[in-house]
Amino acid sequence: MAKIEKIVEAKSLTKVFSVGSRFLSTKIVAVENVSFYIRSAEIFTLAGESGCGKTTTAKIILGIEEPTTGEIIFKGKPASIWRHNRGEFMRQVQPVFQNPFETFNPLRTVDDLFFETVYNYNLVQDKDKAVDLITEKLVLVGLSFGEIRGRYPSELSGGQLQRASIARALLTNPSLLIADEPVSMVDASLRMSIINLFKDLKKKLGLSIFYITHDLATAYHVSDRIAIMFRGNIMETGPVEVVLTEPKHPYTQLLKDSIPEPDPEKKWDKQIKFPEIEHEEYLRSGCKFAGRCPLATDKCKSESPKEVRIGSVTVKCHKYEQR
Amino acid sequence: MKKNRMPVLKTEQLKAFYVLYTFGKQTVIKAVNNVDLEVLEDEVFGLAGESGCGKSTLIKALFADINPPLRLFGGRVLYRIKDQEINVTSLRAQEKQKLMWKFISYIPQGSMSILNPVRKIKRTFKDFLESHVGKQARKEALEIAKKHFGELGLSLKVLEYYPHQLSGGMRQRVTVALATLLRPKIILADEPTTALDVVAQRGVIQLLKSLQKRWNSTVVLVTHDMGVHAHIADRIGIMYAGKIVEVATKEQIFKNPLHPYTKFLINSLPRFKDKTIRETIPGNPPLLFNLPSGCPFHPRCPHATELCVRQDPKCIEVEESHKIACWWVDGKNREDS
Repeated sequence: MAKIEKIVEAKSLTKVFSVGSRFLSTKIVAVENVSFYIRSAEIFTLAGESGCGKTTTAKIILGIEEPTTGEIIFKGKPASIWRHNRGEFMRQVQPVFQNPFETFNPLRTVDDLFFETVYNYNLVQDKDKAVDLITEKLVLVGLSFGEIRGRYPSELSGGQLQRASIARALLTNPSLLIADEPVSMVDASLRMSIINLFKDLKKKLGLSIFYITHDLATAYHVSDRIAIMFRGNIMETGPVEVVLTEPKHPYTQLLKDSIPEPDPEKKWDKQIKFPEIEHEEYLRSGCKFAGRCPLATDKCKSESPKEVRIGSVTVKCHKYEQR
Repeated sequence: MKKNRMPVLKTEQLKAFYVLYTFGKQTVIKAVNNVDLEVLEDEVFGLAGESGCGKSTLIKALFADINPPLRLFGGRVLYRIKDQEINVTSLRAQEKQKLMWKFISYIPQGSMSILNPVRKIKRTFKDFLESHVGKQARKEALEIAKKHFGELGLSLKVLEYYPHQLSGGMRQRVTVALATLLRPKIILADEPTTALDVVAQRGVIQLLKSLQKRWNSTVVLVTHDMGVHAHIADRIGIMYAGKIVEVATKEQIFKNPLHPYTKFLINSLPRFKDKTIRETIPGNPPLLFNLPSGCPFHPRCPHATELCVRQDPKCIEVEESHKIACWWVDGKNREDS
């Protein structure tokens, strides 16, 4: 079997934020001992509820945040070496943000930002070639240069802008795209077209995509592997078909059960428990989910569970440890 | 299903447009264009559509909250109060104020930010009761709030917290509690779960549904998430470019959508255990200040004919409790009339 290249690898990342004043601060562990890797030409999803540390993880990979401990290895070299060659790193790893209306400066035309990226990275020498390059990337996402030339962001729809934002990220021929909730601001009807576009790009360009979302339905469609995150910990990871069709961790089961499926015959019958205060769950010792878990025992409340491998899935839960 | 339910909220050819002046040039944005809508008592009415199709504006108009730049260009909004139909658009501001929160209440978009960040939750409830019930409620305010929280199954601890200490889902449920404190007959909820994750969303939706059941009130729920509609709504209205294009029961919309736009919308939904590429709607939504002639969907519609370009279809009942505005469906009959 040919060796499958890991394009990026996160090794036991931890990020601690202090909240409050200098003397009375509480420490919030936003990301706790997180390890995962992304292969080339693979879509990897990080899913979880809001405030679970998804975006912090993305920021660490992009190099915007420094991890407290742990490291990122990109294409075989650790991030500390890439730091001396930041331009090349940024060329290889490009972000797509959540809100396309905030990605583009509202006072400047959309094509302006494209030209700026071309010149900043010194991709081509003259304007005609720049237009050719931009057109080539726009065609990939299903737009044409005429559609964005001289237009302001407010004149385009959310779906068009998000496509433009993806095209802009593709200008530098990146090998990894970090997409932080790219469809949550896009309409339901256009959401699937963006999802289909990601699949298409993976196939055509061999692009790896780190897809961050709380929407498990789109995650199921787009990704190859998935990691479920809860309060800074990865609870379950594995191939998306396995994780989402036979969820092992109680949290994954709750998440899957809460997806509103567009089927009028399926209804929620159980009432579920909710956290009242976010901080409490972050500060909890032992398993972070113990406060809401229907299967919680005393052990869950005091001891952190270890990762257990079951088939192709890795789960962090005491329930599976004994075996 | 109960029969002979009366419409509690009604609009008649409602037209509400935004009028903007930029550099001396007038732009009219037709956000709500000729909407005829009937919302029955004791039901959850779901309103779906793309963003920028006028859903929020319609909700604003239903709440009779029409302020410039939004202007009423025609039509009426009727509330049914004690078997009397009242035209709200002609009421004076004071009379309107009396109805607000007691008869009809409104949970606006992004309502998590309505809570005052430097006041405890209980203080917000106190202020609310004081201004809407009167000074005498001051002493009992805390008791009323506690009783209400108990009824909704929310923890009483929450009253003692500041908004930033609560999670997003909890904050949203506090907002729902605040909006329903005076037991309104109608609750208008505008995208109450958009910023929430699926678990918190489930909590808010279940709370709304249980309230509606207990008090037999009416909920008008706006969201673009069809999955949420499938779980909670009794009837669904599909909105496109300022118009209601299809109104039917939930089962009819999901099992037998008739309007081409609804068909696309239902077909494009991601489903589990099915990884095939889903068909999506071609083209982009129209701009509301520059609507295409005739049926606003015709540039994107695969069945568009010359008639669609020329004339705008009316919303007509084609089956029992199934209304649709389209020339293509049952087209022959329509052309004769």
